[in-house]
Amino acid sequence: MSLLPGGLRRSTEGSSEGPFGWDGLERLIERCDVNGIVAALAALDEPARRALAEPLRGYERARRAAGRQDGEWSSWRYEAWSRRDAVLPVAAAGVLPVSALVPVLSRAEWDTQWTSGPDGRPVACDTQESVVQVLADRGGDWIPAVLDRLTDRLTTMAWPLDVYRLIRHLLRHTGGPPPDNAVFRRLWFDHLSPCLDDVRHELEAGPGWPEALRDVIGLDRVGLSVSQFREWVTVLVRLADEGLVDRAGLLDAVLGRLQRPERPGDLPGALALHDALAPTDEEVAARTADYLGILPGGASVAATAAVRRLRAADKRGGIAPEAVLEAAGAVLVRHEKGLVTAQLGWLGEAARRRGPSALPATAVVEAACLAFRHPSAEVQARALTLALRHLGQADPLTVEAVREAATDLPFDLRERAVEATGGATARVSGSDASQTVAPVVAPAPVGIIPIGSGAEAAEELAALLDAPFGNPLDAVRLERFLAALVSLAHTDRLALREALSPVTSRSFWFQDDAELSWANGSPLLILRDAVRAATGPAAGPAWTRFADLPPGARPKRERRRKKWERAHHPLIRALFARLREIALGLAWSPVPHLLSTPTTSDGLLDQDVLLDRLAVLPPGRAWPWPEDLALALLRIPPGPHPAAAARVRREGLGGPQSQALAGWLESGGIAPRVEPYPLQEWILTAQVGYGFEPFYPPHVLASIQHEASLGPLLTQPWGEVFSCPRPEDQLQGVDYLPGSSVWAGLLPGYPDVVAAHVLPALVLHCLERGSDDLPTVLPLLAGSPGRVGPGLALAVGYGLGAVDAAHRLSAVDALLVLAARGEPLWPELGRALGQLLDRRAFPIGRVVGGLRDVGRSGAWPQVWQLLEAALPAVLPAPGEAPLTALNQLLALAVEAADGAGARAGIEGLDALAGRGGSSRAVSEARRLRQVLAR
Amino acid sequence: MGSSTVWDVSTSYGYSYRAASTLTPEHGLTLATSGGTVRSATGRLAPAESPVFFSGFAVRPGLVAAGLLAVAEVARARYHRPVVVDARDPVVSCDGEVLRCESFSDCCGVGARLDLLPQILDGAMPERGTTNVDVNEPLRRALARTGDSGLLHLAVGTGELAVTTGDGAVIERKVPLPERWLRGFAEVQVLSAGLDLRAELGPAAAATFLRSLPTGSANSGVSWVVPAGAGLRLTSRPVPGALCVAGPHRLVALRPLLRFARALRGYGPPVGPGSGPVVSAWEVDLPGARLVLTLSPQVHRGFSGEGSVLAGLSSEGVTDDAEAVLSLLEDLPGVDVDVLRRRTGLDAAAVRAALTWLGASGRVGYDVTQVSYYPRELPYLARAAERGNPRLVAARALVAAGQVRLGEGPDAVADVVVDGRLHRVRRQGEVLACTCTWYAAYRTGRGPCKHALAVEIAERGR
Repeated sequence: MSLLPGGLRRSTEGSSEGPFGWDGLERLIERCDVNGIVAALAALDEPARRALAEPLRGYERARRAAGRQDGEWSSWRYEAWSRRDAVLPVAAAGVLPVSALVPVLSRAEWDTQWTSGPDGRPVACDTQESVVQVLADRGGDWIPAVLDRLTDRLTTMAWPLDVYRLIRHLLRHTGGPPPDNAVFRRLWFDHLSPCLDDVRHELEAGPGWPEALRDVIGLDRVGLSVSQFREWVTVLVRLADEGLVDRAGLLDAVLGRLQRPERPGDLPGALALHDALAPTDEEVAARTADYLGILPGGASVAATAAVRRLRAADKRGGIAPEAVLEAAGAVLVRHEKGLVTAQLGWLGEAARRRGPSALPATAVVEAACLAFRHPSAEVQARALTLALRHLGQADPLTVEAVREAATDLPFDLRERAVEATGGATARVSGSDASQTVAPVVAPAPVGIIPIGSGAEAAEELAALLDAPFGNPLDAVRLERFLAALVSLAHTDRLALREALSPVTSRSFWFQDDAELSWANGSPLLILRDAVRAATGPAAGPAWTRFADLPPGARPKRERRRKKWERAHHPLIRALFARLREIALGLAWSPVPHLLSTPTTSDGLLDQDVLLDRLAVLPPGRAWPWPEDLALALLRIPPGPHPAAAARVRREGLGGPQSQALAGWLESGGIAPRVEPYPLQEWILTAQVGYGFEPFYPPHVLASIQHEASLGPLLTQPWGEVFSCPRPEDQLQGVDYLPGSSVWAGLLPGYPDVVAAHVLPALVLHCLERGSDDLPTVLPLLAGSPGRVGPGLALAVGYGLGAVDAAHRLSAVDALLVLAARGEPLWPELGRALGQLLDRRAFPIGRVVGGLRDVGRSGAWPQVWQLLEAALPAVLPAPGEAPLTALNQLLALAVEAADGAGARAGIEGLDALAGRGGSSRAVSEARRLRQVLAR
Repeated sequence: MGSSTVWDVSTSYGYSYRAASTLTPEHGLTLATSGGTVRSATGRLAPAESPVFFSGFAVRPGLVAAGLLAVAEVARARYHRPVVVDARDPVVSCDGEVLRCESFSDCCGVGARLDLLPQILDGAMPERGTTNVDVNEPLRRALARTGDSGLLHLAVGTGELAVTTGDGAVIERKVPLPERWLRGFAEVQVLSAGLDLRAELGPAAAATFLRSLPTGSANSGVSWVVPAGAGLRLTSRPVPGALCVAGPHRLVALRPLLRFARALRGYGPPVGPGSGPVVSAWEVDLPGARLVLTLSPQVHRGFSGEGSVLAGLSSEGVTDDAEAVLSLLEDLPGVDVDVLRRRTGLDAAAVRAALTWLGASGRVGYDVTQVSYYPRELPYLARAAERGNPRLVAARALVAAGQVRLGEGPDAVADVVVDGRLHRVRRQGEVLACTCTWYAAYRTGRGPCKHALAVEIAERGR
C-alpha cells in the first residue's frame, strides 16, 4: 500500500530502458528488494533520477511522520517497517541531490545483514555497500561530495557510529585518505584491534592512513589510554621498525601527548610507547625543545621520564647550557620530591663542567634557590648545598638573593646560609611568614529567628525532606521547623495543614509506609509523623509506626520498638525520643510552644528565655513535655544560675517539679566525667545493619560517668547519654551515626560527652569505614561553649588519623578553633595522639600534614605543646626499632620547635639521637636535639 | 526514529580560516582569524571575515605561548566525564590596548581568559573587535616548544598575507554549538561581577597551593580554602572569607604558568556557615599578562544552569539602557559602574541591569581583576540562546496557560499549579521563595525557580 497521495505518482520520461518510474521504485522499496533497486537505478540517467527525487522525499517524509505517530515497536509489523527503512537510503542515494541525501543517510536505520530477494526470501546484503554502489553508478564526483558532507555531520551527532561505518564503506571504495576529523579518527581507532596483520592491512589501504594512526596516538584520552596499550605498543614499534609508520612522527606525537597536563593514570600507554621506541641520545638532543615542553605542565611521570632522557643526552654533550637552565627553571618549582632531586642532581653535574658548555655560576645558584621553596627539608638541604658550592663564583647580587631566599629554610639550613653568605637573614626564628597571622576563628553564633508563617514553614519542611538521603540534617533548620510546627499547630491546625499541603501532597515521605521501608531509622520518618500529627485533628492520630499510640498501649509494637532502640546509639535514641514525643504530644496533648528551641545557632538556650517560656504555659496545664524540658535544661549555658533558680521558686514555675527545677538551676545541672577507656582486646560486636564487620579494634574509647543523682528531670534517654561507664557495650550501630551539626547542637554545653559518644564511629574512619560527614562534627564540638577534655582530645586524634584526607581537614579545623579559643587542651591532645600512635591506631604519616597546616596557620607554639606531650610515647625505647615514618613526625617537631622558639628536653630523644648510623629517624632526632639546644 | 536523537546537538558553528595558525622561527606566531565583528571608524559594529587585531612583537615568548596553551587546553577540556571533544576555538577581542583571548570548556564549567597587556606588546592594533583564532595541533606543539628568550613576532589576523585560494578560505571546520554552552559562556561574565578579591599569594605560596591540590578524578568534589600564613589551606567547611574550589583538578591548567607567576589571586563571593558551593575565579598575575580561570560551583554544574541572569531577562525594558551603556563602554573600555552611571544618566540599578543583560547576551565581558567591563561581541548568536533559557520558557508557558494565581496584598502568596501540583511562592524581602524541590535544594543560589519567575512575570503583567 502506498503511503503517498496519488498526485505524487509520476512515471519517468526519457528513460532509455522503458518506463521505470516512481511506481516501480516504490514497489521495490515496499518489497525491500535492495538488489532490485540497485539494478533499476543503474539503468537511469541523471534527469530520470532527478524526476524521482521529489516523490521519494515525499515518501520519506510521510514515513517519518507515520513512524512518529504510531510506530509499532514490538510486533512483526515493526520488523517489516524497519526493513523498509533500511532500504530507503539505497533508493535515496540513487535519486536525491547531495544536500537532500546526506540528512537521509545520517538518520537512516541501517540493516547491514540481509534484504529480500526477488522471491521475497531473505538474501544476505549490506545496505551500506549498496548505497556505495548506487553512488558509484551515478558518477565520479558523487562519492567525494557525499563523503565531505557526511564527515562534517559526524561532529554534531550524538550517535555517530552508523554514519562512521558508511564513511568507511565510501572510503574503501575511493581508496582515499582518512578525513581530518577527530570523531572519525577516534571511532576508527576504537574499532581497530591491536593485531599486527589487521593494522598493517588498514594502513596499506591508501595514503594518509599511517599518518592518521600517528595523529590518533597523539590525541589525549584516545590512543593508548585504554586497556590494550601493551599490545598496541608492540604493534606500533613493529610498524615503525618496518617503516610503515614514520618513527620520527610517532615519537613527536607521543611527546606532544606527554606535554599535556594529563592525569598520570591516562599516561602509561604513552610512556610505554616512548620507552619502547627507545629514542637515541641524538633523537633526544634533536627534540630538546619538545622534552623541555613536558617539564612545566606534564604529569609527574612524564616529567620524570623527560628529565631522565635529557640528562642522559646531556652526558654526551647533546644539550645546550641554556636548555639545562630552562629545565631547572621549570622543574625546580615543582613539588615531586624524586623529580626535583633528580633535577638538582643533573644541575649539579652540569654545573661542574668546564669549557664552552660550562654553565654560568650565577645562573646555577639562582636556579638552585628555586628549590628552597620545596616542602621537604631533604630537598632544601640538597638545593642549599648546590647553591653554596657555586656561590664563590657568583656575583654579589646573587649572594644577596640567596640570603633572601634562605629565610624560608628551616633553622639549621638557614644558619648554614647565614654562615656562607656572611650576614644575617631577615628572620632568626620561625620557618614561615605565618607567625603574625591570627588563626581562623570559629564563626560566632547568631540568634535564631523563628519561622514567621505557615508558608515559610512549608519551605523549611521541603528543605528538610528534599535533602538527598544521607545528607547531614541541619540542626538549626530542624529546630526552627519543630518550633514552628508546635506553635502553628496550636494556633490553627487547619491553616497549618493548608500551608504545608504543597509539600505534604507531593513529597514521597508522605506516601504509604510500605514504600519507605528503606528509610527505617531515619529521623525524617518521625518528623513526617510529627507533621501528620500537627496537621491532623488533635487526639486523633492518623499515622503509624513509632508514634501511633501512647507507650504501653500496643505491647507488641512497643517490644519491636525497644528491640530497635537496643540496636541503636544512645544519641540517636535520645534524638528519636524527642521527635517521638513531639509527634505524640501534637496528637494527644498539644502545647503552645516548645521549651527546648535554642536561642542561638550553636544550640544554646538562654535560661531567662526558658523561664519566660515556662511562665506563659497556660495555667490549666500542669507540666510540659518531659523530653522537651530535659533537653531545654541540658541546653542552657553550663554552670549554676542562682538568679534563675530564685525566679523559679518565686513564681512557682514548673508546677509540681518546681523544686527539682530550681535545684538543677542552682547546682548547674550535671557534671559528667569523661575519661579515656583503652580497650584491651578485639571486640566481637553484634552485627547490625548492612554488613559491617563485627570485630572492633582494641583502640582507646572514652567512658562517661557522673557523681550526682540525676533526679526526676532527666528522662531515661538523656540519662543513658550521660552514663556510659563501659563504652564497649555501646558499639551497636555506630556506623549509622548520621548528621553532624545535629549532635554538636543537641548538647552544646557538653561537647566532651558528645565527643565520647562519636569516638567509636570515628575509629571506623581510621579503618576506611564510617558515615561520610561525621568528622565535620569536630570543629563544631571544638567551638561549643562547654568544657572540652579527653573525649574531644581523642576524637580529634582519630580525626587526624582518618584515611580520607577530607576527614582529616575537620580535625585540623577543630585544632585551629581550639587555638583561637586559647583552650589549654594541647598537652591533653598530645597525650591522646601519643597513646593512639603507640597503639598503631593509624600510621604516623597521616597526622603530619594536618599538624603542619595547623602550625603554618599561626599555631606553632600550640603544635609544639602537642608534640612535646606526644613524642615520649612515640620515641623508641632503647634497643627498639623506631616506628615507621617517625622521621616525618620528628621533622615536623623541628619545624614546630623552631617556630615556637622552644627550648626543652624530650624524654627518649637523646637516646635516639645518640644512636649510630644515618637512618632518617636518627638524623631528624639529631636536628631536633640541635634546635632545642640553641 | 533518526539515529542521532536523545541529546542531539541542534546547531553547529563553522570556522573559515584563510590559513592555519602557525609558529615558525622565521615568521613568529601568526594566529589566523575567522568571523566576528570589527568596529568601524564611525563606531558601528560590522561583521568581518578575517580581522587583523595585532601585528608586531611580544616580549616573553615562552610566557605568551604558555598562556595561549592554557586557554586552548581549557577550550578542549571536558572536566565532567572527560571524552575527546571537538573544541571550539578561542575568542580573541581587542579594545585598542589589551588583547584578550578567551575560551570556555566543553563541560560549560570553566572559563579561561588570557589578557596580553601593553607592557609586553609592541606593535600596531589596526582594528578593534572580536574574532575566533585557529589553534591547531601542530601549533599547540610548537607553542609547547617555545622558549622564553628573545622577541616573538606576533600577528593576530593574517591581513594582506593571506588569500591563497579562490574563495579565500583554506580551512573550514564545523564544531557543535549547543545552546547551553553559549548560555554558560555568557553567564560567566554575569556571575564574575559578584566576586571579590579574597586571597593573594606570592609565587612560592602559589606553587605550594596549586601543587598541593588533589587532582585525581576521585577528588572532584567541593573544597574550601582559607588564607593560612602566607598561603592557603584546605578547610572542611565554608567560613567567612573562604574560597570555594570545586573540582580542584580544573586548576591544573594554571600549573605550567607557575614559573612565570608573580602572584596568584583568588576571587569569590561572600560565604558563611551553611553556604553551598559557589563560583570562584583564579588569576595568575604574570609580567605583562594575566590568566584568569573561572570555576563553576560544582564539576557537574555548568554555568548555563546557574540562572543568575534570569530575573533580569524576564524584564523587557532593559534593552534601550543596554544600548546606551554599550556604546559608552566601546568609547571608554574599562570604566566602572560609577562612570557609566554619570555618563548615561541612569541610576546604578539600571546600569547594573543593563550590564547583566549585555553580559548574558554575550556583548560585554567582565574583568574581575580590574573590576570593570569590556566590550566583546561573542561571535555566536548568544542572545537567542539566552532567550531560549528553559526555565524562562517554562515560566512564560505557565503564565500563558493561566496556571499562576496571584494573591492580594503585600504579604500575599501566589499559587502556581504545574501538572496538578501546587507550588506556593512567597515574597521574602528582595527574593521570591517557593515550596518546590528546586528552591529546597538551592534556595536562591542558582537563580529563581520557574514558579518564582512565572509569578514575577505575572505580577509585571498585572
